Amino acid sequence: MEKKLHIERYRDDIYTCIRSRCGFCFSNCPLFLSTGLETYTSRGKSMIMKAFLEEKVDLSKELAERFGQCTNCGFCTTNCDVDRPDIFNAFKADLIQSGHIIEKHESICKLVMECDNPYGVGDDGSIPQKFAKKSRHGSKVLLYDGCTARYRERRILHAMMDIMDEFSLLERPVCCGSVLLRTGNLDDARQQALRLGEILNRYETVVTPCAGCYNMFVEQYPKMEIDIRPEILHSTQYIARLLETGKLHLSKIGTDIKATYHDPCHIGRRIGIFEEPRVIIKAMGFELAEMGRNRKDALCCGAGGGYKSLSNEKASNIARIRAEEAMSTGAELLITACPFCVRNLRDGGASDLEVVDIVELVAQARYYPDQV
Amino acid sequence: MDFSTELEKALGKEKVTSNIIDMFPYSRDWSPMFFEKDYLPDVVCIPSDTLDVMKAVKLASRRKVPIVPWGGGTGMGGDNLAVKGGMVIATRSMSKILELDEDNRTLTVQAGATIQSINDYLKPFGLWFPHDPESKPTSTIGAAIMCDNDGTFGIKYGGMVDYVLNCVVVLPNGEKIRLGQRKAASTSSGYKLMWLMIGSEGTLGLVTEVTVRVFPRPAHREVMLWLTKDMKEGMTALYNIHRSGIWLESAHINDGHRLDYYTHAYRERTGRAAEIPEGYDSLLALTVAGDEDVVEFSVNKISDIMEGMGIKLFENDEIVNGWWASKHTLQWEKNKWPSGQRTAKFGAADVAVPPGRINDIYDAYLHYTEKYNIKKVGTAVYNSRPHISPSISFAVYVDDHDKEQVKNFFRFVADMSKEALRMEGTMSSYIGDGIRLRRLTRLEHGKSLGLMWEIKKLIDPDLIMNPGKIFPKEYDPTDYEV
Repeated sequence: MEKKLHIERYRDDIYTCIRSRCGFCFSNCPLFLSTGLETYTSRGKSMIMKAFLEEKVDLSKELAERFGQCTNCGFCTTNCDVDRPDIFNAFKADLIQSGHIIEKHESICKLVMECDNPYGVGDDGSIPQKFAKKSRHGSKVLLYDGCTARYRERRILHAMMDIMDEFSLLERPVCCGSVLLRTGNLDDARQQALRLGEILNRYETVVTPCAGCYNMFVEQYPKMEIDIRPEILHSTQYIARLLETGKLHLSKIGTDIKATYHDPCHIGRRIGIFEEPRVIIKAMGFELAEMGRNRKDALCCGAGGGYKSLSNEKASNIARIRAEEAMSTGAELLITACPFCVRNLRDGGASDLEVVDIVELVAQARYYPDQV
Repeated sequence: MDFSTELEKALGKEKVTSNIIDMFPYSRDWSPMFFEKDYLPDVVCIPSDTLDVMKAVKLASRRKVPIVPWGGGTGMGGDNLAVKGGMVIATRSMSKILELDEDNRTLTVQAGATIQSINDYLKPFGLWFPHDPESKPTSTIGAAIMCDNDGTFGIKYGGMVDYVLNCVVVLPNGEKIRLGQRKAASTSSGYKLMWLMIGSEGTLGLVTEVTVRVFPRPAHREVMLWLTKDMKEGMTALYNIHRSGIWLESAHINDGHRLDYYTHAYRERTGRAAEIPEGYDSLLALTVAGDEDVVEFSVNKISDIMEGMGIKLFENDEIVNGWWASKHTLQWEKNKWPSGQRTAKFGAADVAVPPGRINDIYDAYLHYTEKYNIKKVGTAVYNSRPHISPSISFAVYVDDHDKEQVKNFFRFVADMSKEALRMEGTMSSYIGDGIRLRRLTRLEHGKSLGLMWEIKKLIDPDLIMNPGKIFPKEYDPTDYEV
């Protein structure tokens, strides 16, 4: 028997888009800005999915390649009644189901299933000596680092360890499933989420510096009907709370320095964490110069949705657009709050601009009043 | 070598596609049409600048390939559809700001820049470009010129002919030409060839660069909704305000159906429609803008005029703000376009009539929606030129899966158009002729359509520039009697 199509449940949403044609979905679509072709936009994809539903185009490798080119940034949903990325991911699942798989996506998903991270690496979870005392197995606070902070941008993980007074750290990280979900491997993503959800539920609080992981726990797991009991905090929420309750003191390391802030899509427009990072940046004394496109209208860095693994060069091209926007503010520092954004913005060639995760600055600025 | 390969060679691979998958996104505009209908181009070209457009048009001209300009794709008349296949030139990739002349208050941009992006750019300079269609995040300045559509602030700033100073146009032979004056606001020299381009729907050439006038951004604005017993009373109020010397920034008249459509956020929050109180039939929505004391004075003066006429203010901030969000600020929780079109398509007859015939044409709307059994979205009267100049959106919902209802929609548009002409008005005030009205353009223009055809053939002898628009199918210029 033929399997039911994943996009069937979205037929009405797709048709609603065909009727509207407003195109409010792509003025800041990173793929449209870098290619100029409506094929990659949400409105364009609706037209293609309609053609598929009307049997005017077949599922094919070419189609998979086009739908694979999306960063899942969700800008398209900002002004829309319909949650667009869910539909695209469902269609990617249909493409996979029919055997049309993007090789690069297949290989990173295989690594996730084998090694619990898309980089295909592993470690023993060892913690630098200076933070060893803070790490307690019995702690009810889990520092969930995520794969990029652990394996590629370890400074961010160390900064988190520096900021937190005590934490538990998983010896062997379990992937949150973001890469699987966003490349259309919906069943594997759910299995992964069930596995990790069980672990997260052993804690009272989970703190993560990764916007992608945070989004999975807060937005995607509930959509998969996976119950997550602990309080989930993004690093910026955690730090803002410490500041507010007087448990964290930050010196003015940013005095006379102009900085700008890049809103990561997965905590920004998807969840609404806009003000916490800005409060922290100002608390460190930086002069905050906003980019024209900020908060819910922020341009994606270009890394998400498996796009960076699909084409590092194209993802870097998008990052370059964003980095140029940051430079045009006159800032010398580009601050963000996601290891993956840090990585891609840096690859984007912002040569006159230092790219840094907010937690690295907080770790640097932190002081203890009784020790002064 | 086939056409697409030749194009790739001339422009580069990344600027050309002929893959069938990439054709579907360019196969429909916002027109009501049968749901399964699509107009597929054969090739899509994504130029970076005028030179790219010239190269593409030259190649198409040599092979007599139809050329279809594509802006934001939000048109409602099929102006940008590849009815004969051919090459879509998708201009959104040409969106650079070329020059802001602050001293002379002019802006030169590539034609694919969206109106929203132009205003985002101008904001830090305290300037704005007041042409303000509701589709501004998507619609481009080039397409706005070619369609000559109306906008929210027309009563103060006028329409495209008032904004555009000059533009670069690529003609069907691939040569470029600059039309219009330089930066002076007006000229008495030569034929107004640029005006010929404005509203020509891309049938004479493809605009690639534009210089427009820009204006100081007002510091304050007051939005008011007034309750009137009918539309005519709203028009009379506008006359009285005009006579008083107050300079309105915008003036709209809505019926109750349209108020509901524009205040979808209110409806979603409260679970009920925003209704016009009993005893009233329509709304007059006004804005005044400028320095605070001038705005305050204007509001007081308008209030006096309204009081003198017995017209009451609609005092519900949520509804007023929701209405204005739909018209201008676009600061809403959910976009009204998709949320309003879950089950049926928005469509409109966009006639304009002399101000004194406003009630008559509204009666015709009520009559024909009933005759064809079409659900009303409601009426929105814009004033799209300085002073009072109603251009009207008589909107309806069309079930686009039902062929008969789609046909009925076009019968409704045709009948409304004929009524407007009878009332000494015009068939179209913002959508243009496109493919939807081409059967009726003879009726509106008579013998002058023949002269238009001669001009078309002079500029585009092979008839490759956006074919199938404005002129009736198999057009015979000697047959102008209807």
